Amino acid sequence: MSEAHDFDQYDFLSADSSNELEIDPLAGSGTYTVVSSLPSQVQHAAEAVAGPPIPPASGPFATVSIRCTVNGEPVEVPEVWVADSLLFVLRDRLGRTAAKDGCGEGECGACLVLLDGEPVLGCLTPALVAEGSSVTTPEAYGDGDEVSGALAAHCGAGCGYCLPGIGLTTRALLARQPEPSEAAIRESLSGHLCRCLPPGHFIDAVNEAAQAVKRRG
Amino acid sequence: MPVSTPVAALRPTELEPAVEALAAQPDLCVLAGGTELMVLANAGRLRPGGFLLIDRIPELRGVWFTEQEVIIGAATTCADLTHPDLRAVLPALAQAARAIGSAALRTRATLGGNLASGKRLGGGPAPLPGRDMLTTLIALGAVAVCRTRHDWRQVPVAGLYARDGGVQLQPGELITAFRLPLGTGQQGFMKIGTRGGPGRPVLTLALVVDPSTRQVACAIGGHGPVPARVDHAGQWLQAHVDWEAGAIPDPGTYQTFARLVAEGLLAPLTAGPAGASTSRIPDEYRRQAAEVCARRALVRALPPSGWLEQVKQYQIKAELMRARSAVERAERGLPQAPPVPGPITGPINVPGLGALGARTDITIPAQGNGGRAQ
Amino acid sequence: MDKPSALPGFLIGEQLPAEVAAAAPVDVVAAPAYAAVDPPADGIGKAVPAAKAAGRYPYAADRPGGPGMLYAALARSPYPHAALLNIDVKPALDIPGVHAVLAGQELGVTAVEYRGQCVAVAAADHPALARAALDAVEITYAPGEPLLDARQVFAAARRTGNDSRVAAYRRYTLGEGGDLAEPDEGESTVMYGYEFGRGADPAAAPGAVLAVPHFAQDGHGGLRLVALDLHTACADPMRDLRAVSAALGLPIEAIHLVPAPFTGTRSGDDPDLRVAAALLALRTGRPVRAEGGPADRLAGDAGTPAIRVHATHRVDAEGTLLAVRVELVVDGGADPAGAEPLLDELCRSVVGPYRCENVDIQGWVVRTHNPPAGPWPGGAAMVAAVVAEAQIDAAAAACGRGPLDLRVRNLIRSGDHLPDGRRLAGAVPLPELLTALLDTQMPPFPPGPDIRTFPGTVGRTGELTRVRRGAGIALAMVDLVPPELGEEFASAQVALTSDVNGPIVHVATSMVDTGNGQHALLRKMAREILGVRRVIVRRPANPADLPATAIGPGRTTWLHCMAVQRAARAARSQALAKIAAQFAVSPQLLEVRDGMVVTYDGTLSKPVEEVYAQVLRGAAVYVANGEFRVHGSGAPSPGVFVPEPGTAHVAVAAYRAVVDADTELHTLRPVRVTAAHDAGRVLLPERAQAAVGSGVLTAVDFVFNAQAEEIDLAGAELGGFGALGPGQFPTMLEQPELELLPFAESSIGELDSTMLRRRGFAAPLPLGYIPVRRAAYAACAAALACATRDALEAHPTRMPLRPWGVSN
Repeated sequence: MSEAHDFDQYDFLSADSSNELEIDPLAGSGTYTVVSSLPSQVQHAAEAVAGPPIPPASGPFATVSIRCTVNGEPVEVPEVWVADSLLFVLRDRLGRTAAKDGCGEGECGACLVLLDGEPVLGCLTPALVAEGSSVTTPEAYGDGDEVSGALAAHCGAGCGYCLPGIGLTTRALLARQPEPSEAAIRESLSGHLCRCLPPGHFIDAVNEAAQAVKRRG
Repeated sequence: MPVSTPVAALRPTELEPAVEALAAQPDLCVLAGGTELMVLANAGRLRPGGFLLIDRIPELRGVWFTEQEVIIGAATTCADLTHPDLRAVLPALAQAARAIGSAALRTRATLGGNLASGKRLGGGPAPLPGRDMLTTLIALGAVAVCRTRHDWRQVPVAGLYARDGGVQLQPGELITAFRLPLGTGQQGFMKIGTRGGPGRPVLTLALVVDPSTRQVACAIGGHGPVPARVDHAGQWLQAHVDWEAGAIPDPGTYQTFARLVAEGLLAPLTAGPAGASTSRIPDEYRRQAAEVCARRALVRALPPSGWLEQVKQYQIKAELMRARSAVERAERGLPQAPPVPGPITGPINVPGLGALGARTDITIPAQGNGGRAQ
Repeated sequence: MDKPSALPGFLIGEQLPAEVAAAAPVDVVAAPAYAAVDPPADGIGKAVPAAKAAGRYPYAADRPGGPGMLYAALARSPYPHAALLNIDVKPALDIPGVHAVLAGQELGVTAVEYRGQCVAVAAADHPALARAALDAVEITYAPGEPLLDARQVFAAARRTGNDSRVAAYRRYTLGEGGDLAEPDEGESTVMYGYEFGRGADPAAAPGAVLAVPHFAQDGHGGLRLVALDLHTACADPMRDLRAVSAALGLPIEAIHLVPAPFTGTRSGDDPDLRVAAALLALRTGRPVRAEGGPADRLAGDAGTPAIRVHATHRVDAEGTLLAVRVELVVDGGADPAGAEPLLDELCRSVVGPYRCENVDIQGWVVRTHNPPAGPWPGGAAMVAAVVAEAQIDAAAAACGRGPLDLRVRNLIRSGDHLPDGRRLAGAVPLPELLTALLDTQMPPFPPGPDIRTFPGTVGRTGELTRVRRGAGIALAMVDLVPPELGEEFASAQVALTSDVNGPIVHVATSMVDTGNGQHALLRKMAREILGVRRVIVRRPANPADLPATAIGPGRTTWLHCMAVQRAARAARSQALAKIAAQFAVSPQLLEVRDGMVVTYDGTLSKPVEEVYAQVLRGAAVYVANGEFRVHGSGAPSPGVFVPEPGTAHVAVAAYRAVVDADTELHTLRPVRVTAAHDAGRVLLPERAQAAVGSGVLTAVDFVFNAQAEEIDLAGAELGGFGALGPGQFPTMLEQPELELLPFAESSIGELDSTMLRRRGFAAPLPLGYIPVRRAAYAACAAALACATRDALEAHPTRMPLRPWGVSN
């Protein structure tokens, strides 16, 4: 395999390459696979997680039934419209309102939940996708952990609509980078639009949470 | 047309059942990440007859390497594309993926979805899609692999689109993978968004310089539904690079190349179906921005001689100033926030850049009311 | 009234356990179960922030609607101006699951006056069904020629002399007016036209309204409407209640408005949503939830008028401001009445905090087919500050002096005249703020090496050799009590009593806690005056129990704090009557300070616990009412604040912004904003800091917001979609850091006001009231614009700033 080079290696902007390695603190996990064969020759991965095909229904507003676990608790939701978002099902069908309904377009990040441990936008994730998966909402953490405490202490004077989502992102960030730089914090949280407080409040909160997590060990 | 037993939602774990279902029920809405379709559904503008979920098909998600090429499954997510291993091979793709939406969106958004977003063949009107990844794929010369139940075809990614930007997929056809030639050399992606940080594109530019094949490819997008490959600029540049030395002998080459790239935008790419501009961003700004970005991209890819050293020295100087001010501040017992470094005498003399016809604007504000020393 | 026998009915409510109290904001629950939050310490409290972080804080969209709840959807007109010829809702009602469709006349709509006007609403079992129902409604429009450009409308009115579309006109002159004669030797004139786009809506979420009807048997086998609960974000329940009541034709008593916490800093929910939810709930007899969607947000939200300002400033060779002439046109949209206060404020303050003896300002509001001009976030002060500061910068350049020099030379002082002839009263500590500001450090330059710290951030366009830094200083002045202000009035009731845990204070107020800690301010106030730690603040279930008028933005907190202060003082006088008799002073002369009851001169004192243990024995209750009124003019009396005739009270702020600009691409990155405020008197530092932060962020959003409408006109024309979101707000990657200098507190203590009076100046406002948010918004926006000008060495006149429009 031949080598290709990023501009960055020639780019004074990233003379300090450690900055660039923090490309995306929340980027995908082990789902990326490298194998040495062509797609047509690939073996059907036995470990591929897949639920059974969802039973069909008919009509202009076809509905399906969905089973998944929410915060560790198995739930079954009947009659979910195929295009219902995961957020709608969580909030309106299951009453888990900690993930907030913001823009409905993936701009604001208020609806962030974890799907099989990965942060996803609840409003842009079809509820169908959660079939057989485990969903984690901000309710799973309550206000018992360091992140909630730090966010409440530093950012509680705002309206608070963005905080549950920011809490989940912060936990994901700290899991990957225990001591994130300011730029990394800003980039991670750039998917959340806070309309009340300047970024300093959030940077302080994340740093405090990082310290607290570190002390706990 | 719907067949006798319409399916509300299907989530196959293999490719064959997926294309079979699509053949049986071509009005099925193919959904990989859903980050575009759900925007439409949330706004009440999409009422699918049924969904075909392709996010659990292993053939569609992943990256495969051969001697000559990289093959990326169509349902590979943008987050996957920023993985360090892939980033080492296809940095421009990783850079493009990073500038799309938020991190949480990128865990669902897929490469194929980014390309297939927007207007469908025979479909209704749709908002102007971003398609940032397409700019890079076009510059890299990617080929899309499409499957139907009984057939398959390969088509250069730009060939997937009609003139108005509609996606030209046959009924029952599914994009399964993209084949990208493995290259050497430098590649990079640039984007001017509507804001700093991830956002909608105003202009995207991808440049690929491959010394082994002595090829230069540049694509610009963001101005319309489909990015354009500026072949004439690339071909012109090929003749003006000293490939043995891996450098550009004539400093004027940078500016000429940039101008050629910008001329590629002169065609009325922002014209909508009625020929009217669909954007309030003046074409003049896009043209200028394309020129500037092309020049910067080429300078980064094939820097003028001495340029890197100059810049590194400047970087070191800046580092020193930061350190010095931090020490001074610590001595005065002041917390964090370092003060302004004293004015440095600029402009720095960068060989080559002067010939590009651009000023070097390095200004260090003095303390107080932003007074400026140049 | 030494020992009232009992608490008034509306003060008695069962105190909820802490857990429930934390989950519910103070206003959520219907009577009689009040939620009350009694935080363990001062500040904005701990329970509410914790509930917010955990996602338990119940916004309107989180309220459970109960069984049978329906979802509403709103259909909006694609035409800005059209007649409604025919509407057929039958196909929509035929869809199974659709319960009600109201359109046209049933909503009181006969013609379309602006794009996005609500023309039909539907309620169904599922939001998608409701939207499908609206798509099935057949509406025939007869589109007319729309008037969308305020300038064209204004020019046509001037040309033809037909001013039927000119809704309001203001003119203020001072001295000889803005003389535009040929400048004399050494004088220079700067003349620019400025344009302001519609302000960004700083909401964090779409509006969400939940309407729950309650029915009872009417005795004839039918049902009778008893009440309609309306859960909605609102700051001023009385005003909103009147508006909804008028729209529904229901008596005010039948509507129970339940204020919900705010999201972002918006001024309230879309009236369309409230009316739609209420009408559909009445029609179907079921709870109805209406939520604004992407399409609603663009077109239907209360918009803000586009403003054009043409300003001419003349300065002499030394930079002294000789004359100012301003003409401005405000696009009032389809309902220009809402823009009149904006016009007035703009005309009065467009000269900025600078003294000028010759002023001529004229302003017009025109009616167009744009969405109605709603409340502009922060009022007109932002527009005024941006214009004034830009003109001062231009004038400085014209006469060859420094921008700071010109500002200091022309700085307004206490006693100077405003364009409307009023004198400035109270302290105007702009010199002090400027000094503090100039003492601060600039952020380090150059940015980097991280690409994310360059203009363009992750777009990777940033280039070290093409970054230029600009710094701009801006001053802002916000008028606090406008001269034409009618009566504004707030009342409160304070009860001092004790329970098993000791003394406790109950405060009843008509002020809504929108989630930003307004009630914490009242707690602090009561705590200070009465020396009691436990204070519970509630709103009465029936707003009529505590009368209040609609109160203009920025004054609500002040009026209610004053009402509580007066009530608490009265209750204190009652409770301390016996001690006063022992000390042989009047009870009004006793204060509670540092845990001691002391006489005004501090000569006699007694521990407050001892005193309360004595006077609160046997669960004695001391109740007092307090009210506070403000008039723009008239005769002052106790409990009524009227500015001395011809005087004006202002809030001032001085800001410095630092912006990095790409000199070729013109991409911008605000680096740091340094803020110096006169806050009068700071009661709760966290709240004041958050208010400044919110003002700064709103300014950043406005100045650097690139509305997606700019990107995709074609999509927008396909029915409002395609313009993704309300705008492309700057993300945290490029929001500036805020350095907030310690607040100047110009009105602490009575001493200041006495001294000022001796020097012939009016006293500061009671309570030292100075709202900081509006001043922060104004000064920060102006400073960011100044810094951008400095960085690009250009004079962009269009706001928001776009990379493709900043270099003239």
